[in-house]
Amino acid sequence: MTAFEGFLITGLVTGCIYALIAMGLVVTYTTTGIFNFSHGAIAMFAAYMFWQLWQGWDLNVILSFLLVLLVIAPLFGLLIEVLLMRPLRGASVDLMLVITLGLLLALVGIANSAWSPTVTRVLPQLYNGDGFRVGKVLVSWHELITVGALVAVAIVLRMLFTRARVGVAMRAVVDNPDLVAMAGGRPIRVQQLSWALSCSLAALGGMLLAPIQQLNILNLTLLVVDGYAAAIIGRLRNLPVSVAGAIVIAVGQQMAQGYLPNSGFLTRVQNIIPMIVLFIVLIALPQDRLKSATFADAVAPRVASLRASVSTGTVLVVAALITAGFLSGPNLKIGANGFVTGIELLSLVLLTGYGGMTSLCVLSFVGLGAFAMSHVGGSGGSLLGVLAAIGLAGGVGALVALPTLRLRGLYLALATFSFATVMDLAVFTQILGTGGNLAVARVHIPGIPTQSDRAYFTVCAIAFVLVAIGVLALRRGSFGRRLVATNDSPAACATLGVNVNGTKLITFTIAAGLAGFAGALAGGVPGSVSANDFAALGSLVVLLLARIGGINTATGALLGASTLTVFSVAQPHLPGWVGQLQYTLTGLAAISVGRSPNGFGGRIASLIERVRPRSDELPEELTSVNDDGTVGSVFFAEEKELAHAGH
Amino acid sequence: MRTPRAAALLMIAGLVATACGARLPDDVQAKAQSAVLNPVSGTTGGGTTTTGDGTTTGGTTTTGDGTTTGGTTTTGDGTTTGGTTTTGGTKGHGGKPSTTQTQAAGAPACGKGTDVGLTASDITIGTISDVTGPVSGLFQGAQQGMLAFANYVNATQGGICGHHLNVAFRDGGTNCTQTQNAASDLVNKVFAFVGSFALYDNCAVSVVRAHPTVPDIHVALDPAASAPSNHYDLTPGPLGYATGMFAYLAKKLGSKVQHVGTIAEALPSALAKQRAITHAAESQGWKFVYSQNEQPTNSNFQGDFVKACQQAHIQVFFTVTENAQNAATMIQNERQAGCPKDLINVIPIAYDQAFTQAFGNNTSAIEGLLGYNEYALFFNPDEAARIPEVKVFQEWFQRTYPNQPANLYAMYAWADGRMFQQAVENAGGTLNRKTVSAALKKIRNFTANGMVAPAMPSSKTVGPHCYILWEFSHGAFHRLATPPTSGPTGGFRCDGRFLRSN
Repeated sequence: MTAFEGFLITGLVTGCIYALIAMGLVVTYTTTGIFNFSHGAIAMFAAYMFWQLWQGWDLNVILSFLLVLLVIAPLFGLLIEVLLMRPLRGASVDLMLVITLGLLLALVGIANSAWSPTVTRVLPQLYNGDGFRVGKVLVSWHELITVGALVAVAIVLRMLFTRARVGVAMRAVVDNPDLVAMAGGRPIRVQQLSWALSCSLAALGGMLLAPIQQLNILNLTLLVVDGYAAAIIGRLRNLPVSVAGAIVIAVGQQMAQGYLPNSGFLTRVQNIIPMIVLFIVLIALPQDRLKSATFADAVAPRVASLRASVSTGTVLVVAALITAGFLSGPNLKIGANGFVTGIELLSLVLLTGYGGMTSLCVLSFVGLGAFAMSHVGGSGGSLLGVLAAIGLAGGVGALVALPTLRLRGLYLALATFSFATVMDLAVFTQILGTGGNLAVARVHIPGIPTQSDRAYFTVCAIAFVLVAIGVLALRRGSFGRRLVATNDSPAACATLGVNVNGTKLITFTIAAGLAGFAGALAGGVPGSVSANDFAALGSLVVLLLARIGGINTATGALLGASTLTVFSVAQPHLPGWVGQLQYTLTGLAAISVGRSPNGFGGRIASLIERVRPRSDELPEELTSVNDDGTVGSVFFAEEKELAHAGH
Repeated sequence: MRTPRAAALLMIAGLVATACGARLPDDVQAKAQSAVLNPVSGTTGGGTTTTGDGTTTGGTTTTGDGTTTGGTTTTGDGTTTGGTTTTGGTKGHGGKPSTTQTQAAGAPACGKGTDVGLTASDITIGTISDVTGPVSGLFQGAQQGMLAFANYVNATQGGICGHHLNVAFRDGGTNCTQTQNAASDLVNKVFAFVGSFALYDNCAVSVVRAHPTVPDIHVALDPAASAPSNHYDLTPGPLGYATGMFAYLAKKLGSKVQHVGTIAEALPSALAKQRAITHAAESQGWKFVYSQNEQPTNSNFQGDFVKACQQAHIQVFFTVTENAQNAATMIQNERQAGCPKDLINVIPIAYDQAFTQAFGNNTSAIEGLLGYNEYALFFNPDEAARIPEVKVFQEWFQRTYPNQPANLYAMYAWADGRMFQQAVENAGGTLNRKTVSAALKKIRNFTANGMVAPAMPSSKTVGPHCYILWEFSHGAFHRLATPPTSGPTGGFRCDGRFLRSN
């Protein structure tokens, strides 16, 4: 028995774990058309339910297992379909991401409340971890059962989707539910069945994996991330290829661990292999496979004029100046943080709201900005640091954009997420100094006070306003119209001679630069940053905040940031149990936004549209009034006319 | 961490935590665990116990049915303070303990005065601990321990020096800005910070520095948090590590310690600690033939052990900068990876109820496990019989939080409370922040009545080096080769020295 064989066997077992996760993602996507970010959270929740029944309430192990697998999980799936997914038919990718991320947070929050993570709970392996040896490596019966379950489920699903009527119907509903209905099918019933099946698969994975990977809320929830690459290798459709991909990735990881040095940067390679594979596969794959890679709700409220945006911004700055006089030191910092977060959200307004490019790596650019500010700005907070922050983040943004220009929707989201994960695991934890913190000075502007909490609060407010005015100006200009048009129909734009890739590249670069600018300001609030500030999943939350406020407007960015700020100010004064609900409340807030794709900002714009006198003339940049009263941008004059006719 | 992410309802971070997240929990726990690993120089005396209705603590006469411990108050170079006489003190770097214990006699000569958080009848302290964040309730134990201590002194001693002890809690939120804001908020309301446990405690440093008279008594998780001159720590000193335990184990295990494997979390703070530990161990003849850094989100280490056992042929496995649950998983993964049955495990972080719970009733896999602490076996029933302070801690914690297990953070918060009590009682005729800070600076050997290894709380240059050894056998943790608690070192081994790593 050589070490090589040991790594191989360990890799095979680990690969089966990845495969089980990937299979759940693939089945969910195949039967619902949704890439379910909450898959891991559902698995986690099922594992804890299993523990509760078996260990907590002393029910029979098999009965507990079957109860979760065949009763609780399917019922939960039905609930998801009815409450969350049915209203989202045809929704955009980033909205789906927000909803599934919201569900993830809600489940994590509920689990935190129900099963305190500070209490150790053990879900034992079947047969007490006993097993048989292959060479020196012990393969436990539990692991063997897991592998067996994987094989059995793969066979059953294969037959279901290719030979059984209901399986074919599941796939058909994803492609065209109306057609299925016209043919006598019952698409809603099929969708419910799909979600029940999906949740049962997640539960199966969670119950089998928890004894191997520890019963831990966050670890189980995040375990699914390692399965993304395998699922994408199978194009979210092909189960056998996904399983094979999972095994190859896991064996590769084990070999990297076995034969790469134990020190230095290379020690991090093993951890980022799945994300590197994911990035490469996404770039290499054809793009026409994903149905949800469209933005059905790319409808923005009216874009404010220059006069309106400047006057509103002036009011905001004056309000900030007045408010600063009444705020305590802690609240000034919270407020400054809020404005900085607002700038991050503005970068998403430009990139995702206007450009339709879903980015899950905004915090990576914020981190680069903070890093540049620290090293170039120095302890004096030189303005050069700010420029370096914008330049570094923008430059890296351009480099990331280049290979991903042709990606859209989910593929782009996952590609940016893989970049964020690599930055998180391999870069930020490596460079952010001993102790994990990097000192970042507040920017020094000659002749203008910036160092006190009050002054810095005002500086951040002004920065937010300037960025907002700039983003709105960009949107109103020819570049903005080109950007929106590119989002609406890249093919049409290309036909008309619009440089689609160039437009995307510039947008991505500017958005990354804005995030870098936010990073330059962010570190100055507390005076330091750590790697945790730029964690990959944090970028998902920023997207979530943008969606809550409204990702199509600068007002939405302000509202999203304000939501966070108000909560932060109120939190010390709330009862402790309320603080414990923060995950749950955030998740539920995100889920509720699903019914209003433009967020609270969109609702406000809608209200304004209803009360203001209606003009017969549409704005010059070709907008249309939609059913809900919002105004959306379109590119073709024909659509403009149709919009008039529709009203 | 900035407010947005963390407080954001979300945790985002968490989700992060590793990512953020996920990593946070492990990060936090690893840092917290490792923060504890600084033994102390100097010595101490054990506590004296008076039982019955009347109890004496550090010279304070109390009433009630609580059993309390005698206190050890060492001030300066061995002066008498408040009726407690102590002689000796720290002999300096690596010095032999020489403090002798004397019983408190009479109540301390408590001073009078008013200051921030101090009135004629009340004294209010502030505790900042991470309760919300990616891991709900992460350092809630610190709050629990502090409240248990307050209940104890208020019920049995009428507070501290006649002042009812109030505790103002703030949630650090596992978040830099929130921690900083909590400190800013409290600093003008409380007399002192006592018993805090926050991952981003370095973010409160600016507040502590700006108020140089406010005493800040807590176990620093970030090295920057221990820098202010008004910070006092149960495990003070610069980055480095004690050597005594490695010398003992080298003698006990022989040539096996030249084939050691270790795993550390791939976090800057954990890695810095790991370097200090490795440096100290190697100075005693240990040789690390396998050393791996793992992401905090990793919860399966089978591949590590395949490499460690089958390629590097380790004979001893040692880890400090992981958490207890991961340590339990590692033991299981050793078996799966085909490691030899005679592999020695030295895992100090295993002294945790979470560790043994992971094995349920099947603890045979961890029989013979070795480790060491810089504090007493605070949840052991037999330790309570040996060290009265541990008994009081266990009793009052259970009174305050029935049926909940006390964890390390609760124990540290309690010990921090004891340090504060001692300083207030020794502050002299005028009671204010300045005099209490001065009293804290004079403490050379603090032990919380034998519950923690002796330390000089204000030290910035000398690290601790005392410890106890333990072994897991017959289903429980037991002291190993440790001097009697009635001895001059209070049951701690104080051989070896503190070796700075930079």
